[in-house]
Amino acid sequence: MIDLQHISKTYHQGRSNAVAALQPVSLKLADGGFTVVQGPSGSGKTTLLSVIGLMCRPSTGRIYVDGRETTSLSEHFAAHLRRRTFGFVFQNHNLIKGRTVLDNIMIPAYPEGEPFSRLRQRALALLDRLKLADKAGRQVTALSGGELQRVAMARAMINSPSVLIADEPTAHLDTRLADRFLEIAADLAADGMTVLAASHDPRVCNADCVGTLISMHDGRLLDNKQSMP
Amino acid sequence: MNRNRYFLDYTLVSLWRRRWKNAALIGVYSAMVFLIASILFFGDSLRRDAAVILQDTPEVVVQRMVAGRHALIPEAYAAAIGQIRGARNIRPRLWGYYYHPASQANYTLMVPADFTYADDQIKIGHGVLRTWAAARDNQLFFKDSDGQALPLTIAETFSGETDLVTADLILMSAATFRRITGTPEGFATDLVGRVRNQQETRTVAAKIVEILPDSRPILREEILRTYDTLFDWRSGYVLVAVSGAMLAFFIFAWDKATGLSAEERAEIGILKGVGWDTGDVLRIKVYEGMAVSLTAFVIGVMAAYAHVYLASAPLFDHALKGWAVLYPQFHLRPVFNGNTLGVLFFFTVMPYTLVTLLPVWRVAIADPDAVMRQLG
Repeated sequence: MIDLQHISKTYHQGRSNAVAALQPVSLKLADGGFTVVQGPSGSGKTTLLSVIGLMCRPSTGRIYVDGRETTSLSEHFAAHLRRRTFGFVFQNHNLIKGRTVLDNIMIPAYPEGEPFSRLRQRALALLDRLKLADKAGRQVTALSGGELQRVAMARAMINSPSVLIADEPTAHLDTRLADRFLEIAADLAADGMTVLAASHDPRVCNADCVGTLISMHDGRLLDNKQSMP
Repeated sequence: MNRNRYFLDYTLVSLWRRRWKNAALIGVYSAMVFLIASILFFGDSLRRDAAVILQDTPEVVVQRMVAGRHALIPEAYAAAIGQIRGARNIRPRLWGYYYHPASQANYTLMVPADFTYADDQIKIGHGVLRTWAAARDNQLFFKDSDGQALPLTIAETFSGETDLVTADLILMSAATFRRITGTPEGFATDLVGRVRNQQETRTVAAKIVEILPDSRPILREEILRTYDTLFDWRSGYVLVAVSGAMLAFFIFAWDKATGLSAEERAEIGILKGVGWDTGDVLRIKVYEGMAVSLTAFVIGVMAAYAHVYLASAPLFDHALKGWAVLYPQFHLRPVFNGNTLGVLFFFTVMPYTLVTLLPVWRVAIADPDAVMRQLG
């Protein structure tokens, strides 16, 4: 369970160029299911996902993850929690160039220090699940957009997180690949993982597999639609 | 253990990815370490050679001063000094310089206590024969104090190993020395002696001045200190000369260190985004900095070792060996000085590693979200 209580976020706070990206928001996300945050560009979707996933600290309010207050955690413990609980799929994939697909997938697990053979086995299993087994030794620069996104998803899942966060996951994908993403997301949600995506793509927002749709505008939450998948 | 292996592996792949940039950096860095290490090795060797050579020299040398200048000393002073408790083996010494116009060089003349050759024979250093313009049939032609020609036969030459102090040396009998220099009988250049208790040398020196007020005792430790100062001064002179290169390197390093490329910033943001903490990021950057600086240090030190001890330091020998009248041709003996290596390590490896950490730390402490947003 993720519980946001009066969360707000202002960038460059106290300066003349301060931007209030998130007005005070309260929100509860139950475990499991596929939730989509929709809204136009600049509505605060990415900021909401960043705050939830401990990628940045809110300016005000508190966040509880499984009952544990996270806003006052030290940087070290916040990183630990981020690594164990959340997996991120960034809009631009943000894979590290000059490294192989397998390396990129294993990197989030390095700080855990588990034996290499086990880690490699897990990474290969993920690649196999996402139909990328033959790309393990490839450089990421040699992959297509759809392949890059699946590598990013595999990387997000390497630490077996309970929450998968995806920012505009279909922004650079054609319809076939967008459908493929939705299939994978639905599978993960069906397996009990909480999938949280920000998108203004109607293909995602109107997808049958989406359980909860949250609308945002100018940093505020609008009416929410909930449905059972 | 596994964590460190992963971080080390990550570092090595990162270094390989930017291999040409890192190779250029290591090249410049190694050159700087090479320059400094060469100077330090050279100075260490000279100091050590001087110490080895001086260890058998007398503990005290007594000169006579007249009007503030060194003057010939009466040999009778030896007996007076010999009365001082602790002083022993006090004996007069004859030595001086001889200018040879044809070769335009000064040679050192000396009369050893145990000279076994005849009055018309001499023992010389390698540099003398090499530079003496009028050598013929194993003979050198001198002029005595009256201007008369004085041929002397070379009976023996010093071995090359002692070239540091014998390159310009000519040993001869006392009679020949007096004839060439005009030193009267009963006088010597100075007196030398030993002190029974090494702790008492300063006390003995004070007593000598007390009973012979016109004398000036010089202690061996003072000579060693003078040599040290001389070599330090020469090393400093060369260090100043290469300081331009060092400054250029530090500007280069500072420029690299203070400005992370967009790719490096992105990488740090991604690593933090996927769950690395600031300490993890700093650790791989420390490893990177250490790998570059240690590689440069090892290459620079090894190159300096080869330059100084195998090739006899062709880059600096005239600047650093110039204290001799004749440039001695000799091979420096390797000296392992932990302090020198430690200082070199501290002033080359540590600053670079720390300087490269600063910009990384600035980026690494930011929220991953902030770094990602800067990347667009």
